[in-house]
Amino acid sequence: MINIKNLHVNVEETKVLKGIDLNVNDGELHVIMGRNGTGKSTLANVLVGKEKYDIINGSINYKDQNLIEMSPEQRACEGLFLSFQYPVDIPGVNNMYFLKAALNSIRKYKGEKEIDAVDFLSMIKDKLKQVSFDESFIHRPINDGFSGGEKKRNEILQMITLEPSLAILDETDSGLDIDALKIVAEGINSFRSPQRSFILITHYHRILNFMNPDFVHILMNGKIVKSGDQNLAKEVEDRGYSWIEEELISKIS
Amino acid sequence: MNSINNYNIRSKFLKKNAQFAWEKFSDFGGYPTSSMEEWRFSNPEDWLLKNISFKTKKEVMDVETLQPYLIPDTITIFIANDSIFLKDPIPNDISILKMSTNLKDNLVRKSIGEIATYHSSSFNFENLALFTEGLLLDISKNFNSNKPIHIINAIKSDGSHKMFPRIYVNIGSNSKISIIQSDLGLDENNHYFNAVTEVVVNENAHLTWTHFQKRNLKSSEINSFNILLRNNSFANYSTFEFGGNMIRKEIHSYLQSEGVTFECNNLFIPTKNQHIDIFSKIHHKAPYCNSNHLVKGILGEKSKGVFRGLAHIYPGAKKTNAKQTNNNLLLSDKAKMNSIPQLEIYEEDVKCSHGSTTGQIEDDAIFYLQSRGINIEDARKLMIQGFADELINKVDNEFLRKEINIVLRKKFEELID
Repeated sequence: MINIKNLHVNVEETKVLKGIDLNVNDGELHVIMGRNGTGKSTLANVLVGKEKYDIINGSINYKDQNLIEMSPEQRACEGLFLSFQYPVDIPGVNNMYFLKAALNSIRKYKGEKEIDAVDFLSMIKDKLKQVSFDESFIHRPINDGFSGGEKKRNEILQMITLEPSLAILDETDSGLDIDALKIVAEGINSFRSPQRSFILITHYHRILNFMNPDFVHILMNGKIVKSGDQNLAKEVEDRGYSWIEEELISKIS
Repeated sequence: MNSINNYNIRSKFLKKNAQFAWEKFSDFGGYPTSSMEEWRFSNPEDWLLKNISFKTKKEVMDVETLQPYLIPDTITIFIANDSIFLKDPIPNDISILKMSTNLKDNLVRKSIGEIATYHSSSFNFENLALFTEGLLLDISKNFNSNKPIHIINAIKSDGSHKMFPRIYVNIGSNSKISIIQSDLGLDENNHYFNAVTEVVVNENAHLTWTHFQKRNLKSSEINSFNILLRNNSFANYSTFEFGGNMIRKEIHSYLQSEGVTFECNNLFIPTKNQHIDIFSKIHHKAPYCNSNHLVKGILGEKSKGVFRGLAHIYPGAKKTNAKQTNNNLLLSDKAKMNSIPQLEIYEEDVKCSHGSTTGQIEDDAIFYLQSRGINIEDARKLMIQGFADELINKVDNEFLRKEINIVLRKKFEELID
């Protein structure tokens, strides 16, 4: 699905990513954990093509194409999706109008027929149920006046509507109460398939109680320093990150 | 100063009236100048310097020309090249008078200039002195119409002209009525309009007035809307300004007695070299009245926009609730917006707020839309549409709403360069 090699990224002259290597195959769920400021969100933003990130070195191969050369909308049309850590409010632009426009531009890109308003509405009803939204949400402006949890659920709604092949979830679990967390986790779980991959960025182990990741990676100082399975996440939850740091130091010496 | 006698005034009554108005106009110093605070950002000379002749001959407009502008299920009244004529049968509760011919009518005699006085603008007196035809609508008490009245005010001529449209509407108590006004320019000539509208909304009456302005891009217009609201009445005045070269929209509202609610919405979308000035004075003269004024501008290319809005709370107007908001989207480095929201409060027990923002489309919002597969151009269009929708979606008439959206979308190319 995606193969990241030796990725170096600067943000305003500051080195943030210092050689990321990550390979995600079809159907896999990868978890990236790490302290604040280690570059997790930078990695997510670079993958979806946000400006102001300078790629200094390395390559990102996505579905056998050079991802770096694609525009953000092209990446989305090729099936890349980011659930934002802080989704923006867009007062005025109605959720339904926006989602329909997004879905249709992706369909158009793929050479599929555009969906009309009636078909869209009947399709979206099911999806709304999956994230426990009542129908009024679809007629509200994007994220305007939404609570933190509602914004995250709205991201999941967009994900299951646009049906990406690779979904990156940037701290989608942060700040959620247990009910909202379950809704989000179920949204992700029901959406897993052998053709669809996930990169889940998180601080906490608790969302992993609801899902089965294939790999867990620890990001530290702009690099993936340790990879493992779900037990690694559990260990981080219990012991923090400093033991990994100590391990690294002893390796170097 | 030209004498009024140079103009072809047809009736004795109008002549007398006009002579009086012209003298008043001269006494008060004639046209305003840009040294006056109220005209600081819109120089009156830009409206007046045009070398245009006063319209003397009546040109008959073919009804066919106006066919595309009809709105289904409305009662249409044409004011075409300054001639008033009807298309549909008129309910008994609505009487329509032409100011030029129904001069003996008491309402005509007492109504002209009743609300639009010299104090609101000296341009009002220019109109009073020079208008040759006016529409008077008298809506009886307790009349509830589900059919809107559609006033199509259009010009189509071989030459450039000065025009002085005048409308007076009296809405009887307990009546509910909706009026749509379309101001159209159907030629490419350089016209000057000085239009005055006066409206009285009587006790418990309910008025919705939607004004759609699409003059040609060479025309200049001073358009003054003057409304007086009596006890417990309600009015919504919404305007959509798309056309014109120099446009000054003046709204003078008088919340005269208790329990009045006045809502005012203005959307203006200048592009090219258009200059659109929205000027409003809301006079809160009585207690327990509400006013809510929302003005939104979307400016592209080298256009200019001005908003000056004053909410004036008179002594004794306790429990007033007045809200005034102006939000502008500046879509070009060369476009310019001046916004001056003002409050004058002479009563303590009131709730008033005003605010103004002018900004660009936020990059983060555009990126968010892009990240969902929408290309940058469509993302900008979505944002512009969304900004305008807040006002467009308030238009009840579906046909008109679609029409407004069509005109907006035609302007998209000029807004996203």
